[in-house]
Amino acid sequence: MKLEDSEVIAAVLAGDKDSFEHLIRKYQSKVFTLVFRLVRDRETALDLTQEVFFKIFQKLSDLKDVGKTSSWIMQVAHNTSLDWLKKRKVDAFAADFEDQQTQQKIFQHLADTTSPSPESIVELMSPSRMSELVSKLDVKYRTVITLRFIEGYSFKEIAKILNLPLSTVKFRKHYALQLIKDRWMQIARDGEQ
Amino acid sequence: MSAQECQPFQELLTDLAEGELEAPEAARVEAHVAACAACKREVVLFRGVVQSLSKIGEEEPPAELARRVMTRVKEPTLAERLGRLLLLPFDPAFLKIAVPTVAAVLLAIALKPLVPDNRVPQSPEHIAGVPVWWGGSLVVNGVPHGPNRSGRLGLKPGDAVRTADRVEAALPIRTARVEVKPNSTLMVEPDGLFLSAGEIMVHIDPKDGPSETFRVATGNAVIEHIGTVFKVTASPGELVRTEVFQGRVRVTSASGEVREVGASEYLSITPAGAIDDGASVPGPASLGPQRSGSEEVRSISQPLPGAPR
Repeated sequence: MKLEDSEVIAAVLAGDKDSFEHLIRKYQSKVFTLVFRLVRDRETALDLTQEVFFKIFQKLSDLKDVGKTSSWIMQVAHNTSLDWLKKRKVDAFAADFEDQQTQQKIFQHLADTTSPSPESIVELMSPSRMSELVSKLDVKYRTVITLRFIEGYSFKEIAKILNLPLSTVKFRKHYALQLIKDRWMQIARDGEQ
Repeated sequence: MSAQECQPFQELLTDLAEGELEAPEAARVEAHVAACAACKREVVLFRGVVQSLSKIGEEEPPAELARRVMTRVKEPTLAERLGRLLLLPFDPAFLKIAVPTVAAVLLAIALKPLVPDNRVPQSPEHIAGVPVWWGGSLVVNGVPHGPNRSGRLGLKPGDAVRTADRVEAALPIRTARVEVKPNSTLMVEPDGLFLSAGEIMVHIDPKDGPSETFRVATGNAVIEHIGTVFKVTASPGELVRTEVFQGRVRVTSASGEVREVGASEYLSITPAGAIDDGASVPGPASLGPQRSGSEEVRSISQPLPGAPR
């Protein structure tokens, strides 16, 4: 039988602190992934993830609807990460590839063909290269990309987590995909020259 | 096709690539894409991007994350500390402990300059190898050992350990560090322990390898870790409940039934030793504060390297 969040939360609120570990184990990957994608540093992500779970423990009694536990936890993770970025005034905008030459080599063989097919460009895409492109996006776009494609949340859930209208979330997703695709194509073109 | 004709479909191309469009709209966009080479190319590229993004996968947090959070969570709050302080002076048991302790501390301070300090600083992890207890006496085989002391108990199979009210202990048993909560009684066994009453948490060091098995037995069940983290709650005459935090455990009931339980799942054993598949199992909310006067077992082991998750 599956342990429900409601059972775990009821136990913690009744004084059984040990049960809180269930919540940590269940959500730690999702929280750590979002925080890491936003702050882009593993050590900082670890510290902030601890901070997130401690905040959740302290504010567990504030959770009105246990059915929304997941989005509430992710909301705390998102806000905690944004606060950290704001305090440190970390540049949230994209930077060029640090090693553009290496990237260009990936596409070198495309120069042999006059007009590479989209399928041949797609063949060169890989999760690790996409991951690098995502990390170069503005924070608001990489947040949506992380929640949607890496963590698998629905648009409605993302809207709830980010406290944004559904249409804004969908537009950010579209714009982020456009940016990633365009940058990938730019690298492909540079590689051809 | 002209850019003007493609404009209304621009934002919908990513939805189409994701498979997010409802049937009537999907058909309309697909019809346009079939007739427009530029948009067709865009959809192929977007599909490639979406597929690659979906394969990135979640980050695995460091193994110590849960332990570090739980250590902080379990620290007494300011209110709890104040509550204890306010109550302690009126407790005769506290006076019995406090007077000799204060005397010992004063004596130690007075003698400190005369005694060379050969202690090695220890992190919390190092405490695993040193038995410590606090809040009162630890009773081993009926013999009380003084409060607020660490010692070399050298526990061996067959030894019976008991903690009284407010007494807690951290004991090395085989390769595990066992945290014993107040009002607990257990017996050390060759492959683990038998808990007859109370609450324990077992920490097994991952570096001891998967060959090490630690069993927690209760009156009507045996719980073995399979490289995992789990908790057991047992109350005589009531259901035995096993909750799994991570990985899997194997539960063998007194009636011989064997069942594996996965992460975020629980299994209950009836007092007669049968696996209970009914839904009327008391939730975790019934644990903790209501356990006064009842017997309870908890066991938590750390994941072992290479073990299945």
